[in-house]
Amino acid sequence: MVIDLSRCLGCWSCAVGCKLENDEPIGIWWNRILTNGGQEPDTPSGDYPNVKMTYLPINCQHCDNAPCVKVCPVAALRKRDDGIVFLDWSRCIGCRYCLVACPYGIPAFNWGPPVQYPDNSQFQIGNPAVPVRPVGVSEKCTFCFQRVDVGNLTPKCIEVCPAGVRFFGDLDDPNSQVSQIIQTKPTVRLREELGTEPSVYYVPPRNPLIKV
Amino acid sequence: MKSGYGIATEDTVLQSITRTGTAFYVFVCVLLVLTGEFLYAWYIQLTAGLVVTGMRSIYNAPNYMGPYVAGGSPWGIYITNFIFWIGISHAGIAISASVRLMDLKKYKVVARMAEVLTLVALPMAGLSIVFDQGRPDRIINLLVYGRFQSPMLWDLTAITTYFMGTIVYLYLSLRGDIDELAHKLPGREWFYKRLAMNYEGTESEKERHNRTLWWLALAIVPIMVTVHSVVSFVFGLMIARSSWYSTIFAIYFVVGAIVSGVAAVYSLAWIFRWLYKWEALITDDVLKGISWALRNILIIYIYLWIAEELTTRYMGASADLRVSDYLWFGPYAPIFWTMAVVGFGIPAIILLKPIFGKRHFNPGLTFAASIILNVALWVKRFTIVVPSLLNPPLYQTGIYIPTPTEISIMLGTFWLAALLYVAFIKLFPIIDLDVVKGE
Amino acid sequence: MGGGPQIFRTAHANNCDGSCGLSVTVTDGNITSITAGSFNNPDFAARICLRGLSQLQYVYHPDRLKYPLQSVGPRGSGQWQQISWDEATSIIANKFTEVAQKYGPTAVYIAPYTGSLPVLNGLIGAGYRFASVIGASAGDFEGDNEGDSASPCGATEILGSFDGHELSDLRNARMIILWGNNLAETDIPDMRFVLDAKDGTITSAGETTPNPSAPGAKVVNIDPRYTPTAALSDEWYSIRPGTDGALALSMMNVIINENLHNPTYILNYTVGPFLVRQDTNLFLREKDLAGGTSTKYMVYDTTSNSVVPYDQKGITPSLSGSFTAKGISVKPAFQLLTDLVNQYPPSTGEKITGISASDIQSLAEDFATRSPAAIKAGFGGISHWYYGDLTYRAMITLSAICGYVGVHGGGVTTYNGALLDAALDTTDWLNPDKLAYTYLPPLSFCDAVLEGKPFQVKAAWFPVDNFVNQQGDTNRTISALQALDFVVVSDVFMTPTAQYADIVLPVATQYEREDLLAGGNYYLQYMPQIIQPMWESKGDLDMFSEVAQKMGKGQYFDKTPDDYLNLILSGLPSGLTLDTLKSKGVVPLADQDYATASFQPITHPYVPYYQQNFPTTSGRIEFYSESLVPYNMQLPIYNEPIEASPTNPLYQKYPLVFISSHTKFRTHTQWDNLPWLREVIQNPFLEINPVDAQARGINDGDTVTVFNDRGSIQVVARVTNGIRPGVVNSYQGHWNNGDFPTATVNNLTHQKINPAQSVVFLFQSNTAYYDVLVDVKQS
Repeated sequence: MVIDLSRCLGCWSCAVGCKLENDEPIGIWWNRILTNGGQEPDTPSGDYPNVKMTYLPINCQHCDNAPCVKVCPVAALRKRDDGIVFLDWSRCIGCRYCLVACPYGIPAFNWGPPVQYPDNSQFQIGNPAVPVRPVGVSEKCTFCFQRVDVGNLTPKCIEVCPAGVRFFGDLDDPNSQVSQIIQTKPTVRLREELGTEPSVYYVPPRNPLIKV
Repeated sequence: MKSGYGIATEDTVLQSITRTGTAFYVFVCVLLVLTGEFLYAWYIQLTAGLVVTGMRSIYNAPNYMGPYVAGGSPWGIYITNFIFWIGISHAGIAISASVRLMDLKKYKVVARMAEVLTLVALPMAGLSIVFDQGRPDRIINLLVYGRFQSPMLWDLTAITTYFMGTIVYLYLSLRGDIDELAHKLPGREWFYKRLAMNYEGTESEKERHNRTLWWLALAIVPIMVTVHSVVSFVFGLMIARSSWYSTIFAIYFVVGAIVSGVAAVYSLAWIFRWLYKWEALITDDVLKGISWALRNILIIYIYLWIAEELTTRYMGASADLRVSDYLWFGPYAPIFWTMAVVGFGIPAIILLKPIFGKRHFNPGLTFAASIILNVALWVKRFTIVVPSLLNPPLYQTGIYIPTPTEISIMLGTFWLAALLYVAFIKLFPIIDLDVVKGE
Repeated sequence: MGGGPQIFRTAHANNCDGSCGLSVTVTDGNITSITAGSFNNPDFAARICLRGLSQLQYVYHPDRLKYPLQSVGPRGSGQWQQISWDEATSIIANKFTEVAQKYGPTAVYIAPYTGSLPVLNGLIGAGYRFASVIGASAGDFEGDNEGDSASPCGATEILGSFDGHELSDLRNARMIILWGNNLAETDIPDMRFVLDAKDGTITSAGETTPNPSAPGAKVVNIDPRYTPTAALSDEWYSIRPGTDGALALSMMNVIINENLHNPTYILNYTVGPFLVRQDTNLFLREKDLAGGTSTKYMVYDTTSNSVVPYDQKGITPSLSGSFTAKGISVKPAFQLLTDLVNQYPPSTGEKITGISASDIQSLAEDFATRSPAAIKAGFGGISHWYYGDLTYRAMITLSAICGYVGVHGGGVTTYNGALLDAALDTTDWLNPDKLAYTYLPPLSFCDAVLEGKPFQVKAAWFPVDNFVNQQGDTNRTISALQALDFVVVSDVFMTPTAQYADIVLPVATQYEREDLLAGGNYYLQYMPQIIQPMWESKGDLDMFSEVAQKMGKGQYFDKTPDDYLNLILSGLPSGLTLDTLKSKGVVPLADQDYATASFQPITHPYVPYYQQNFPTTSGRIEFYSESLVPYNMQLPIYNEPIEASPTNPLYQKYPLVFISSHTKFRTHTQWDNLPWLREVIQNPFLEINPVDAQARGINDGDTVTVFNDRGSIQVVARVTNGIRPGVVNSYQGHWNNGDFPTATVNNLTHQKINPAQSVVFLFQSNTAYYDVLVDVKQS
């Protein structure tokens, strides 16, 4: 996946789309928007008027060398052939080692019985192929395996980003959109020095306030 | 056995089984009430989920937990408790190994109480883990799907092996005494006879036992080291976490465990001495020796601790510094500094004083030191587990406050341990009868 | 049911310029998923935002009104009893009839507003038809209680109409000024075009390609706050709120004095060369010199050195100078403009706006030389001010003197889509049998109720409108409602407005009834009924039909919704039928339909006034406007804000300017109670600069009281460097409920109307939401 931080508005549309698609309960966000700026969200760093702010949408990085896969004691976390790091909710014992091991703080945990709005007792929202998770298990972004597997669709966050910030494709195919971007623009990955080999590449933000 | 306090015989030892006063019944009743409260708290957690604790995920949406983008700690006092009990469990082998392998017969008197402590501590550690699981109903998955890539599986294997070894060890060393008790306490003959399993009491049998025990002791020592090392690896191998990812963790934890274990043995020894007036058995000399060992290992522990702090703080530029600052100056600072100054400082002073002359040794003060030390060590493990999780890179600092339910459940391990220990005391001699037979 | 999921295409018809299409998945009669609806146009792919995606929580919200309610306690006490629709509509019909008999039919006021924008059940909908047939008074959808009519008023004064570029046209610009505009939060799907302009790309969902024909644009944001829009701009200028007009004048000063303006354009397409009489301040007309009836404008021809009619052949009119004609002293309008802007050199601009003189200079030079340069203005930053019309005129004048009006990549745009409203001929729908409601601007409602001016209002119905929350000066508004004999509110939730009703009617959401959206872009979007109305809710059309029936006007409401939609579409020259629209779901407005509404042939992307034909009196850009001579505002002069100015004595008491901007987590007051959005937006807060906070002993996270003579609010302080010192901001739209019962920003605003706006009938009143002074203290 490629995320272009020089365009991100911090609008949370990708995060809400994800929440809808996977019927995430209250308190759990697989996809989050972090503000790179002041202490509060949507505030800048620096002293007025020399201030700066960018946004960092962050979701599971689906690392090639994933720490969460290594530490899961029951192999509920597994790396698929296509690169997706998948969490098997039917097997998870809720030890939260993945929460502890992930350098990006990604996995979320169902501390109590999940509460969804609208509540699931009458009908399930989102994609029916995504099972509803019970209390006591971890969950995280799946790169929308249910959309990728069936019909080769992109993850929901790609589909609903209104500003052309997110791209998805086969990193091994040099002609795919994501490979093209990585070849033509300078991209970075989060905490690369740890050697986790994340699959999410970020185009760095432009420095605002530079007079052109 | 002769000592300055008179002669101790088998009957002296068996007092612990035969003499049951009102104080005992009161004590057990209190424990039962507390255990009831613990069971109720656990029931609440089983029905409502871990949300009843103060633990939370690393990230929470800005308005979910209040006005700040701050999450919590996914691990808390349950995991701390787990590490603590594993530490305590080092009591058994620390003493038994010394006795058998190094032939330090003087300490045989405390060997059994130490081994029982191990036997009780290990299940409490396991129980702490069960409390911590989101899906305790799926614990079986650990066996069915367990993967050896994960440090948690190393824990499971090592701890199980350690436990098995200790049970066998204890049983074999207990067998003779059980047989003895079959004669001495006719009312329970049926129980002891069954348990002894056709023990004949011949010299050759005793010889076989001793040889087995010797080899077992030898085998269990590396297992002991392995156990706490693999517990440390659960933390020390995590590249993601500041202040955890450190090469020193294995030895740091093992040394800490030995401190825990030896201090616990001292505590037990002193308690039994005081309770049953066993000054003749558990002599000043024995206590002095244990405190001497405790002092030495504590010095090594403090040395390792200083090395850790110096590494973190010297350059003043690492992510580890954020965690250290949080601990030194943040919300937990009062706890941290009390632990350091009172929890470690005072026991250190008490233990170091006898260097300046044997008359400075005070068994009672040293007992206080040993208790304070174990409390401090519990807190120390808390400061290892939680601050790092509350200071995740990429996010802001979180908050963790254990809830009353969580604390009740955690304390449940102590009540259960006490109950199990008390049960043992009333069934078996807490001091190896060989001691009073002069062997 | 059964049979698997079905997908419906509809539009998101709330008060947002995005006007996105929604693709709604329905399984077993329940809405289960939403994504962006297709426009069959790659430029409009992925046109959706977090609010559209949260609609499920709106439809299935547990707090939705289920049944008609009647108040059984004093107004505002929250005591209700459930009644049937029959009872409710009877009561309404009887009460309205009673009030009309006692005080006259205009004493009944119907106020549909922008809670929902489609043609049958929303903004241009059944409410107005109802008002027309019963002879009631009504707010007008072009009129105002949202501060959005100052800019349209100004635009109409100078250009003859209020119109805007299709926003994909921004890709053709070399410079874009986002002026008083936070596009990244308020019109999220259109921000894509600004980013594409910056990057020189064309992006749609998950695809990006370089755009070789794009010149690449520099993006500048002018705003007292550092918003996500500012963060994505190349430059951000923090301006003293309400002084944007002065900035425009100062920029014009630089441009004219450095000769960077476009004299040819000014000569040919503006009133620049037209001579103005210095005695009357009106244009000099041929009949003033030659007698007779010719009202032709006159210019000074430099070739013949004489004053001649402007349309004479072979002349070179002068743009500057001072002349005499028949003893009358005259000057070209452009000379008068030059005289005006010469009072605002960059040093003066700096004193007024707070932007440094050198910055004003480089901004002006950039604007004039990076041709074409576009201005995207915000309703908030520009129109929410008492003198917003002057500001907007100044901005358009700035664009005009550089020759950017009516060209690709230029212009001044606030809203694109006004054209669509105009293209649909809704006269027969809103005024059947030529019956018409009497227009009463919403901002005059309180005067009408409390003082009987311009006439007495005694009963009101607020459909589609959270009036109490959003009207300026909440306390006065509430006292007006309390003074009414009878109040009806129809809404989806028990809003702060519904609290004050005698009868509350439950409304069906847009997904529960059929409709048509002609919104903020040039597409007609059909909105099918997707699910059954929840509980006993009904659409506005049905409600008004039932009441009309009981008032003896049923014959105006006896057709089906399809019949009315056909009626509305019948005015389109292209002959688009409802059936075609239904089968396609979304149809771009045909060229011939544009042409009728905007009087000229069309270019794509849509650029208004492309042939430089302006529907003004003179047919040209009237930066000098005769109709404003009585107010001394014939030129786009700069006036200090009516309240929020240091020159106001009130400033000594209340030294902070209070603005109330829009947040991405709400659309005005809608979606305030959606759980997903509530998880992310925090308690209502006040943005305050550290300097101001420190001076008042306020720390981040403290609860503070913001107050002035009209009222107060209690919110949480958010100390941020992203706001100008001397300015505080709290997002508008928060309901008075929950932990923060007094957080509606309109407790602090006022209802002052600028009389100069009366020159444009449609846009005669404007709520100056930002023109407010407050102070803040710890609470």
